[in-house]
Amino acid sequence: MKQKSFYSNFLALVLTGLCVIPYAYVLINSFFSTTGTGLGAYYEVFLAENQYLLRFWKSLALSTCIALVQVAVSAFAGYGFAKAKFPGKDLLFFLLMVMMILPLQVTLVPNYLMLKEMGLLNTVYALALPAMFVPLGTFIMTRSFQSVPNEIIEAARLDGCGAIGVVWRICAPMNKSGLVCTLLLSFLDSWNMVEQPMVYLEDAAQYPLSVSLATTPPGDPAVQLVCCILVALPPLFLFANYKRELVEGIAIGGEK
Amino acid sequence: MNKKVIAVFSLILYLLVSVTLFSTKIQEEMTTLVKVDCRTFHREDGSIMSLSSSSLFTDGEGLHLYEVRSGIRLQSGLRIEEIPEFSLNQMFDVAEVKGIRGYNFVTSASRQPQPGKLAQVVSEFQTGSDLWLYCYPYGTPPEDARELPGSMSVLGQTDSVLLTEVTEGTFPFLPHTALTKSATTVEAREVYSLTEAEIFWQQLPGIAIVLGIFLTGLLFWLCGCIAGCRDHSALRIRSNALAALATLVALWFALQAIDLPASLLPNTNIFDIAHYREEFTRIFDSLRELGLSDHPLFTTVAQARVQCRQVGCLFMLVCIGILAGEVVGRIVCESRTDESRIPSR
Repeated sequence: MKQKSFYSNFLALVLTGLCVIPYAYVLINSFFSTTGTGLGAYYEVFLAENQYLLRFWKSLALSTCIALVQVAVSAFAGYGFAKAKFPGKDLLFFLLMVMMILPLQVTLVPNYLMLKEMGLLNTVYALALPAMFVPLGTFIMTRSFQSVPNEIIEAARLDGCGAIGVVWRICAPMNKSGLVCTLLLSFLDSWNMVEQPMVYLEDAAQYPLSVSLATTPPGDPAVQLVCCILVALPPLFLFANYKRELVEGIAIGGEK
Repeated sequence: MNKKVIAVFSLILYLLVSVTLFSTKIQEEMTTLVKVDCRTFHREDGSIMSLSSSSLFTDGEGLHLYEVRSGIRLQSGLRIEEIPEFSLNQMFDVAEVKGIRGYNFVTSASRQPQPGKLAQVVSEFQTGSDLWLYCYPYGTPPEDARELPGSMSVLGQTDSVLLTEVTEGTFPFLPHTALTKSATTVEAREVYSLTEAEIFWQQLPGIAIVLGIFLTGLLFWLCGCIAGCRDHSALRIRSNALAALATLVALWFALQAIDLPASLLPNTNIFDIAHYREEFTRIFDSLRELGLSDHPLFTTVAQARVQCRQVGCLFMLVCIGILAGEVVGRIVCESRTDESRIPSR
């Protein structure tokens, strides 16, 4: 038994080591610039020019806006699917799940055509609008609102609470983990977007940091590695601070 | 929510905002100022473009010809690019480039151009009298062999230094232009504008103020983070955060007041202290060599040092005040908490 425990611990250690290697590589090699060893690459990214940080702030603002709007949309849509009764609800929910499974590349062209018709191509709205209505958030919120007892909602309605009030005053506070999980997943989704800006934006100057990082040839690899550290900061914060809510939210989504 | 995690990341966020302000200013200061000669070809198959050899820049590796072009993505903005293929005519006074597109040739720059670095085209210059200090590595040319333009007159000369007075000096000062003025000046390795050297030292107290404001803001933010971690009153956290944000605004305005002369800045890292030490040691030694120990530059340096010390002392007092305020605030908070714990009779 003891030996089995040793082997499983050893295996876990090796697997953890394998996962950590890329991050350790980024951190260590960021100190080895082509111009010499030290903080040269950090100076380049954080002090020499402001474009890296300006792109960081722009991407942060865009991702935050997308995440907040998606949470609001998902909460109302989720409430509708979880508690409202209307014809074709099951069919619509099935379609929603199908859309959730579809790869992103399938929706790129239809979205491009729609955005073109709306005259929104090459604007920041082209990135924000499609990302605000991703079905995953609605799915998570539906699952999490299904756990709210109908009696509480009925009691709230009797007290004069409208649909919006029921969502924000009753359902949302009872399902914080679902909300936080939707917020995190939508933020991470928009923070890591690469294909959408490349398709919807013509002007490379408008690219968020994730795309600039992915498409710029490495003049100095250490500078790109420092950019990687910069890009990793918001997800790292979100995970460090909300890991419990994230795990709970995903678990709710997976419950039958 | 984990308070320690929030404290650490809020500190990182504060530093990132401060660093964004700093980098905006550093980028502005470190942008190479260039004079350009715009050329377009006249035939469809291209044409030979000729330009004066004074447009060529020399370094340890040889002659270089540069242009400015708009970069893309993470290299956006007007950037310096090297033109790899050019030839010199038989007299070595004209550089020829086979033009297949339009070029914005760099004809002069505030420092040695570096490919990939940001550039700003300067088209209008202020003019005024100035003193230019030429340093010759292999000795100054003899008096009878000197060739200087009419706008320049010699004020002093030693074996390795030539001090000239210029009636039509340009601001910002472009060393490349000063070096290519004549056959005499082209032999010099370095040239300095003494007016810009004085301006540089006049900016030092401003830099000390910027540093002081930044450290004060950081101290406020740190105190706020510590108070947040220790469950202190929300008032203390908010007041510290507000004070730190106010220092960010002050930092922005203090940074706007700084304008360092581009000709004296290092090529890559603005914090390269060794570069400044080397440049100013050379200037001061040259002036002493010329017997100009009473030059106004020395007075400016002395005044800047005194002012920097005063600013340092002031901000040290401010920081001590903040820490004292924190201690008093903590004692007051704790005493109030203790009072609230005593049951009323």
